[in-house]
Amino acid sequence: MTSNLQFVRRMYGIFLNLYPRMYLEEYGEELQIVFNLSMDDATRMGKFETVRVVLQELFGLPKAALFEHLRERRRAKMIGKFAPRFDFPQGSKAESLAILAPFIVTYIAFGSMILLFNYLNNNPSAPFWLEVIIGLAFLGSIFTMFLIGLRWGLPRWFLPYLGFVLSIINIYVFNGSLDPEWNGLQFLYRSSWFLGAIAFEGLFWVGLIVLVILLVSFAAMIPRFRPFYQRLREDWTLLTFVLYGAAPFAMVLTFDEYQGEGPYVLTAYLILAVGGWFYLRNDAPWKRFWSLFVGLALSMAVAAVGKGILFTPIPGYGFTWQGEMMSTVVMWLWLALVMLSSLAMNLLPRGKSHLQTDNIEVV
Amino acid sequence: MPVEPISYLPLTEPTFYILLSLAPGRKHGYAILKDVKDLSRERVNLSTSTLYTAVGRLLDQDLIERLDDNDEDPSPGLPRKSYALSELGRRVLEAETVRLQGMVKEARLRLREDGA
Repeated sequence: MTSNLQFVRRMYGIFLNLYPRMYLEEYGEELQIVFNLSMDDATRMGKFETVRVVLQELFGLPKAALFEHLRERRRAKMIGKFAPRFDFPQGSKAESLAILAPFIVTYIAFGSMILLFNYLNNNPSAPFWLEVIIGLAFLGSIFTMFLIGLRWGLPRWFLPYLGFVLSIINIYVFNGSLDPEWNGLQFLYRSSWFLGAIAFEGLFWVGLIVLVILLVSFAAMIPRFRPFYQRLREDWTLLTFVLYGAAPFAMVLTFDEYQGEGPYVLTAYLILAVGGWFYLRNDAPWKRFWSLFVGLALSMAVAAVGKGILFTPIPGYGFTWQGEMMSTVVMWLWLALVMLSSLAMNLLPRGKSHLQTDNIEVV
Repeated sequence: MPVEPISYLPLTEPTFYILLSLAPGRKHGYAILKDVKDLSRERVNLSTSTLYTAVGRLLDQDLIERLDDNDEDPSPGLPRKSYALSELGRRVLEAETVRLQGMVKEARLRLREDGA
């Protein structure tokens, strides 16, 4: 009987997971204790009462859990906080999976297509359509995750996806205004290639900083997005995480018009994924920042080496492998600066927001 | 703006018994569960989850308060939180009792008329 009772208690503990996470944190232990006491009483009163209590609890719990989910959603709606369905616990496996999803999809697509192609055709070189499919898988999974995160509460794992999309918007908004033939640039290029390259890359990446400033300003001004702004204020590394999302896109840019870059891009993505994973698993802000910073530096180093190895001179153009590698280094310098700009969040005045009221804490 | 107790009426039977259970003083969840069963002469037999759904709603409505038992010496195996009737909850319970008394009085009068 005792082992049966233990089993029933354990089962109840498992069923408690049907409740919303936050509710469970608050009431889970209490519910389990009260259930245990009810079961103790019921067993003293006989088998019939025990079965009656077990059945009553078994049928009552899913209904109550559903009710709590609905209540949590209603409450979140009332105070402007988004539904937390995809707001996985920080540092959890689910959150890591959400951030690594595009990389996992890409690796699975790449691996399976290569295996399939080699097996069927006995040809070691990957065809063009294979690269297109892998690219589509990567971009498709990024945009899917972006839309899920946008719809379901802008959770932490969503932030790099936001950065990725912002960097694409940036290229459309600022690339048009970027004129490589501009006199100022030409002058800089003539005096020093390095200075010219820094100015050229800078004109592009500064646009991303402008977009991020606009994003933060809108989040601060629009009531619906103020909880998001508040989160950025409380943890400045979240903005670094947003900007980290530009790195995969920078990788695509830096290998523009290269062939056979797949292994280098995949290695760089793996390093970026590891950097992101370390970010999610760390609690200290500076450790989190360094996870991203080192992830970016190492992935860009792989990209620079890859470009040096893959480089083939084009007749009539003055490109050199050293110059190609340096352009990636310059890109890294700018991306590093862009990521450092998130520190500016700490400079904003810290007035008490109306969001720091008690009813936010309730949720 | 002060909340009128009458706006919470009528109370459901489980809610009435939960509030009534807390009228003498603070109680743990399990004590409420047993008390509600006794008060209702076993007609209202709440499951743990149903009790906590009702408790959650009453907390949201400020009719009861959730109290920490850290300052006292908790008995082993008992919840570390207890619940108490708030001032508003007491007024609502009183208002419901008056309403029920009025209903019973009217019913008795009418039944007496019928019997006469």
